Amino acid sequence: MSTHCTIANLLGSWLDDPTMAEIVTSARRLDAEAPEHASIPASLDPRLVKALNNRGIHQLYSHQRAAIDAAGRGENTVLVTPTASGKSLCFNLPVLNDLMAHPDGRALFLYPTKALTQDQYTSIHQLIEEAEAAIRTFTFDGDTPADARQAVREVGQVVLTNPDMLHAGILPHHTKWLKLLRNLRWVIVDELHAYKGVFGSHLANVIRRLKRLCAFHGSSPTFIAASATIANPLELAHRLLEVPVTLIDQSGAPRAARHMVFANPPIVNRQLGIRGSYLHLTRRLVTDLLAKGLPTIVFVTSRLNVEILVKYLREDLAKRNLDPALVQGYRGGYLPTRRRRIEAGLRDGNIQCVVSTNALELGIDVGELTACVIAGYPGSISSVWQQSGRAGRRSGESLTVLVGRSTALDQYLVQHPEYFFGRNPEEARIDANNPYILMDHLKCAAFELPFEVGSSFGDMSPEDTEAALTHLEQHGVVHRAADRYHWMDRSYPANHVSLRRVEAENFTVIDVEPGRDRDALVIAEVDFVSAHTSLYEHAIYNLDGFQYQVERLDYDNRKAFVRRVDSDYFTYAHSKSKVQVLSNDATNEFSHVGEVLVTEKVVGFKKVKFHTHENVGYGEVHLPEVQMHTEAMWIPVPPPIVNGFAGGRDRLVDALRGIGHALHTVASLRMMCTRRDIGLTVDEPEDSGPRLYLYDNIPGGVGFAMRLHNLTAPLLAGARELIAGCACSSGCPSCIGASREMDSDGRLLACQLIDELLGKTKTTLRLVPSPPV
Amino acid sequence: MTTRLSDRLRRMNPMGQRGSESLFPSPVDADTRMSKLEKLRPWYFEETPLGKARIFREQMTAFALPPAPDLALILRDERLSGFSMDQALYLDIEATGLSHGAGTMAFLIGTAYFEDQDLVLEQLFVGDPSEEMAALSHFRALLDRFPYLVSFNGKSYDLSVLQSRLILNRLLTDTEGSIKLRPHLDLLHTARQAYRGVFENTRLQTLEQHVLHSDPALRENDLPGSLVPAVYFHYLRTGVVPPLEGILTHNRLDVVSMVELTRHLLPLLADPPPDTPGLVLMNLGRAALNRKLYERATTLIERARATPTAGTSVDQREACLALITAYRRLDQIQAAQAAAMDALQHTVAEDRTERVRLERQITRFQRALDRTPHAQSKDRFLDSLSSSP
Repeated sequence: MSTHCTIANLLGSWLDDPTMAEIVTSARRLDAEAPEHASIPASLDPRLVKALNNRGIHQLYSHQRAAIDAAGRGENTVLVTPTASGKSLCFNLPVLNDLMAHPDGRALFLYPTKALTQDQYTSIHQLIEEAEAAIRTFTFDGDTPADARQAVREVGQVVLTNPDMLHAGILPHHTKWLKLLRNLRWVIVDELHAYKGVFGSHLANVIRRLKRLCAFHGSSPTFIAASATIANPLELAHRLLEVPVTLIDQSGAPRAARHMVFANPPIVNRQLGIRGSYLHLTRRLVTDLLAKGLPTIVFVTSRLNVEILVKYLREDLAKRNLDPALVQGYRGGYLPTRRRRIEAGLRDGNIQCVVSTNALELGIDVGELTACVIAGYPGSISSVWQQSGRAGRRSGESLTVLVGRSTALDQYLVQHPEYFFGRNPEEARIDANNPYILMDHLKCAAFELPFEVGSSFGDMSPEDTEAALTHLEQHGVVHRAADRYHWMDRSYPANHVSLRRVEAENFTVIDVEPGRDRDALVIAEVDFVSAHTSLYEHAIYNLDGFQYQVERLDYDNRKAFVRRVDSDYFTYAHSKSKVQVLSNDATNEFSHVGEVLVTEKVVGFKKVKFHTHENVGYGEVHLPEVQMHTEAMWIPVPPPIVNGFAGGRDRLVDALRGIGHALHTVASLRMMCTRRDIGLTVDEPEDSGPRLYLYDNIPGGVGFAMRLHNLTAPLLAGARELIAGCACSSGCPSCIGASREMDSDGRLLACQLIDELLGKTKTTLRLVPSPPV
Repeated sequence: MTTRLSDRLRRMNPMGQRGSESLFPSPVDADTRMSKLEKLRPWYFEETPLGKARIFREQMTAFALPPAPDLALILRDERLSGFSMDQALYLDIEATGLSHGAGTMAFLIGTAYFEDQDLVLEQLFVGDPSEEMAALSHFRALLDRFPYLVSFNGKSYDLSVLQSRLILNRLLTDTEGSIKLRPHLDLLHTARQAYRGVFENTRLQTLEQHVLHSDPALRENDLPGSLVPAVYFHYLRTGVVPPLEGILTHNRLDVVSMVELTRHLLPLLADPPPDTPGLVLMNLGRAALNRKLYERATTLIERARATPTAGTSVDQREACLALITAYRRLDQIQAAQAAAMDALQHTVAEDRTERVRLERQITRFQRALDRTPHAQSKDRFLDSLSSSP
């Protein structure tokens, strides 16, 4: 490595370089933050204090103290603090302190995945050992051997598990968990933001069942939750836990100064809006960082890209006479020994760069990394912060670069970095009363304990609970006797419920030529609705960076047979969707929201070449139509606007479609979901003007539609900004969509229509990209 | 009363297959159903603190009870110390499903016990889910009357279900341990020990046929276990009572068979009768060996070897190998050596490794014996070598 270079110098060199001018859309420095301390409370057991002191901790951060105080008062809390702010102590200390005083007490820790559960187990176990406390801690999941399970049930004081295990392995067997449920004093729910959408809606119901059983067994635990920074942590906690919650969101942890840079590959075809490869740009930037002696971690979005980038970087290092082994790849599922080797290498400088997928979990200590390069938006703003937090952990300044891909959402973000510097607009949304999800869990709850007539399930009213139980009774799985509803079926309901899906009719994707002497291999599962737009015969199915072509679809048995291919095009299904409004539940100045029936029929598909987006073929699709009940919001275009629109009705509908495309992007960002989670349709019903629909692309809905309805005006404004600021000449996938005819005023008309919808009388034209900050 | 939710449920029909109607008409009202139930059996209602338990009670003249062997020793289960047939409660349930979760309800608790000279059968039937508490309450009283439980696979099923239901109905106090910890003779485990590999399986009905020699006519119209839950659900929804007869009969047959099986197994464990098949003796011997009951093991295995080869034959080689282990533990070196020599006789010439191993073992035994005056066995060994096939 050459002489040590500061980040400021490096950035200076980038900004001075004329070729970088177009690439760096924004660069900003976030100042360092000094810590805010508070004393260790006197109520803390001296053994814990000693353990802290031995770690060099003689005072706490303010938020840690606040968390312990709130817990001591028996308040349910939700903590919102950045990465590396000592979050674990916020719950480990109050829980251990309490269990040391009440040895009969129990605590349940919930993590979304097994890997995270393992990491937290290590963390709390270490603290217990250092405090020389005799608190028995266990993980309880699918890997726990049968003979160990009995021990956990009997003597486990702290039990760490995941939602799936709680749902299918603990709650239905609650009569075997008497010690835990009778004495449960704490429930810790970490990574709260992970419980959004379908998963969150399921978890809310699992928590309802847990609370119901706690009440039966006589306990009333305090909940402590922790979330990444999102816009609505308190609301999410309320919806998931259905208890009063105190919010603690001022972090007292110190933060080193951080430089944030947003980079966008340069445009290579202005008319089509095509940019250069983001991986090439990443390669160039990382090589520069390494050459200047700055240890770097790189996050990419697929395993294939890990391999590709490692290869590129090693070639580049070799060209500069540097050791290629300085770069290492990292993927999920590595054994602990391999992880330790990488950690050691980072510590002693033999490894200067790790290229990783998002799978880099908390369990690996990456030591002294200075820079973090994120190649491709990872899906949420909070993930960007989590990944960025991996650099500069031990004081000293750090640098984070987000490199945008050419997808609509990436482009929107690198051109609107203010989302990273102001409040995070992302919201986690759930709907615990999604009828499909609710019924699944009501069955499980009835299996666990009969329902008394007149009782409520969670926050639902007694009337709604009664309606739901009656529905179960009509389907013969519960029987009402005297004043109770009893489970009356031979099945074990928890086995038929997956917490990550709504309906179980998934298609399996089977690779017919997986190699290695296997006949066939299931490589993925696709939900029923998406299967129609991604698994028709001849479709190109993408998984993990690899391409597969669908050779045969066995629709009735829900199987798709695919084969690896190397194709230069992707396929795009054309579907006609019809939305039938079933109920109009609310109206405001701009939109309506209510229950709808969406009918979608795939009519054909296009073959679209990569990069150039030319059509290179077309095919037919013969699949039945799909119907889905869900929630939607719709924006009608009032007749005066329809009649007075420059260009006529056809151009208006076209403009409306363009708006829809941009809205789709903006909405996905706000709702913290992918474009596939929100459906988009424009139609022209006979009895009214054209309408634009945005619907939850999940049967029963998960709460997007209602929220989008409340945000219609700001969303339209956001869409307008996106369209106006796009660097293309007349429309591209990043703004109003690629399938428009390439007439030059597509974007203009879309902006004009938005202005008219929002009630502005004049459209101010500003179709130049915003200058970098 | 309809709510927005009930409208949505009706439209979306989340429980049904796409677009189908609800599967069942409204259930028949409880009073009608219960009055029909009265005609099924002359029920006897026992008063309990939680209501009246619905019982079908039958009294039968009992056979002479065999003396009980020391089950605590033979089965290595301390809790069965002092077991005798007349101090046990025989138990078999019929439930709404197979899972061990809280939602599986035992709607029929079949019990039997000895009272004076009679065998009393008490079937506790849950005619309506609201009757479950009373049935369980009566069951608890029975549990407290008899120090021992006898079941067929009850360890993993019946007791698990009953334990859950007792807790759900708050019939077990905080300090009481699980009913699974009570002294319990699980006939499935014992039957497996004796009859493994003898018949096509060790299910109760198989044993009934081959070991108890029951009249097959009794099971001619037997309701298969897999249909039992469906029949009960059907009764609850429609009030149709006659098919319940099948459940009660099936359960009765099972409980009575269990009592008969116990009567058969106790003498078998104590001292197998002369006509006991060799394979059964071998099984029992092997079980004794696994439990470190070496005297018992050698007695049984030697008997096994000596039975005439009728039906299933005993693997002589395997028997000898077992004897070697047992005799060594008993420090009966001479007998161990004799067993080793027999084992060698039953080992084929091609299995060189095994022959060599046994020869070495025999030599080691000899050395141990030579420290005591038994040099004649050396000559015997040499003789047997020259005359081996």
